[in-house]
Amino acid sequence: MEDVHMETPPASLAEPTESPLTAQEPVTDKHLSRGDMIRSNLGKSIVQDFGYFRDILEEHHDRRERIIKVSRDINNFSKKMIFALHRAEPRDYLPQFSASSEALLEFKEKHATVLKLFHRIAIDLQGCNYHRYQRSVSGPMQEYIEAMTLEYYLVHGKLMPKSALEAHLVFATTPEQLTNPDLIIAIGQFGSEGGRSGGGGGGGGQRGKFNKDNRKGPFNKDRKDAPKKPTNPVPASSTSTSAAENSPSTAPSSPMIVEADQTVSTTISQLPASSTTTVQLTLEVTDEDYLLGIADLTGELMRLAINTLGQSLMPTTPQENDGQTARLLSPEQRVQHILRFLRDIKSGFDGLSLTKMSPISKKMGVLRQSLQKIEIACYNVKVRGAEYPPEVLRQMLMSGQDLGGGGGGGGDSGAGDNEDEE
Amino acid sequence: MSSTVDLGFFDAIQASMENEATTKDNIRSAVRELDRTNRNITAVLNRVHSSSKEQVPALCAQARIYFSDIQTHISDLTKLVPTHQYYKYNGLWSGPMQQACFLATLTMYLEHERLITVEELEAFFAVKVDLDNNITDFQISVEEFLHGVVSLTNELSRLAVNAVTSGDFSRPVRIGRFLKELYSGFQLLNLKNDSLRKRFDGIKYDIKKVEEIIYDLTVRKLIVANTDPAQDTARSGVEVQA
Repeated sequence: MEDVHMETPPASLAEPTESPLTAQEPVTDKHLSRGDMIRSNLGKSIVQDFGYFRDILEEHHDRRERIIKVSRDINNFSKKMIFALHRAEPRDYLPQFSASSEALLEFKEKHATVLKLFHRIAIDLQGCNYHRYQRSVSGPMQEYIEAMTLEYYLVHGKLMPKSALEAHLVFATTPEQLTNPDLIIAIGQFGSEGGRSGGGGGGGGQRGKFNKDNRKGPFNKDRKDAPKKPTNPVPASSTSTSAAENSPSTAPSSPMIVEADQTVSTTISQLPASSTTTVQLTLEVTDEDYLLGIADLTGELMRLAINTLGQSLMPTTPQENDGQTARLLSPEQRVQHILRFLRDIKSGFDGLSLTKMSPISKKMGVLRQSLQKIEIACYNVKVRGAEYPPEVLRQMLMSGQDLGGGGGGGGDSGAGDNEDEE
Repeated sequence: MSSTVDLGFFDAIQASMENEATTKDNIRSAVRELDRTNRNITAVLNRVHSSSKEQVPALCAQARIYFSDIQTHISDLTKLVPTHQYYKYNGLWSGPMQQACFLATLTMYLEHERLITVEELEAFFAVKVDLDNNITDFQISVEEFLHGVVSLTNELSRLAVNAVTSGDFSRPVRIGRFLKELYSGFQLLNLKNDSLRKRFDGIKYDIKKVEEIIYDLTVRKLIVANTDPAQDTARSGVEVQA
């Protein structure tokens, strides 16, 4: 049956014995013929056959490595997004202040980086590969969902719908980017981000450190060590790969790291024909990742609620009388809103019929625990508020101390018991 | 105040999770059928250890009857797996599929004393092997095939023992040569620390076992050392590497 297909590549039959998988093709018709070409070459000797098998397995392992590396960065940056959100003042989330908030600017900047990283792995996650490597991506994806849903709640006071999340994860990709993902974002060259935003001094220093650490990472080295790695079939992109590798120190000014449409304009002179067509790459958010991300979100909400409760005990809140901040709820109201939000989430989760084995039901325990912690904290403030000076009470709250009995034995053991009941 | 969470969305998730559970159940029951036929073939081929070499072709013919059942089961399975979601459910059938690959590989070896080719394997199951590294619709992955080949080495080392018992002294020599060839093939793979790697590490013990048998036979002059290569049924360009 393969004879039909053999008609296409008869001339090239001789070369693939050396490295049959040099070209990493996107999902095209060419891809199909590659498998058939290998098939027609198989069966001559065991050693040769295993050479092909090795290339097939190696391609898979390399792709997995790539995905894991980028995933780790996504995880890191998502965590930083969450930290930035916690650093922001409550009033920063009002529309009139959000543009000037340093923390929120940092959030946006990190978000842009994360999206580029997602764009980068999206290339490796098309078709069947999404589910093939889903396990490598799922953790960072949850972290990202956590960050995004937290921001959405702080701005809109609601749970971010999955569709809104997925709307961010659509990437227009040029053929050049497909063959050379460094054009989207070069791993280990995050310094460009710092240069672009010019954020806070402390933040910049930190980013610089991160940048340096990353450059030490094996990623670029890997690419050089493995000439077989299917990165540079197009001559134009191979030159830019080497340029990117050679100039990590000049990263901020490098034309390699630019927005997607700018890339087209810079390379358009080299490849006028191919750069006009862009491919839409989408990343799907699985229901499970979404739910697990929300479950993680509840932990962040707990932290937020306790902090807010602490703020309610602060002696003075000068901005309260400001005309502009009229829309900002008082800390007490905000805690109540978080509580209601958490309870709503919980009732959503409670409606799901989950098996005991499901990772979601494991996180349900955390959700219950977070909710209970806030409830007990509110209770304590109400009951003991008059007994302690506010400053002391605040200290006790922030250190997570259980303020005496009451409230049905808070903390871990209680949550553990509940988990068994259901 | 309006609800902060869209509960209708959770209902939708519940529905899609139920759908997924149904798909999984359907796949599981198809895999169970595959597994049952696998065991039937295993039972037939197991008799090779207690049969004389004249009976082997009959056994293979008997096993081949069952392979048409396997084709049916696999094509049932094919219909159940949604496009692009092969790897989502792959874990459900990977084991039985490896076993099926092993059985096809063993049948082919018993018939022709050589390794099955990818095309022959595809003919056995009427499913393609994934040489593109990109499974849109159901295919056999290269890993599953290689797992089957590792199982073959294990089975052949056992066959070598039993062949001696039933008086066939030349078979261990041929098996030994074949296993070494396979091993040098496997050595080409850059295996990660995965299940295939662990099983690959076991091949050398199978080879050792066969070598000990050959040693025993040689020492007792039951076979002539350096057996005539004319017995070699195999492919062209075979290089036996120690």
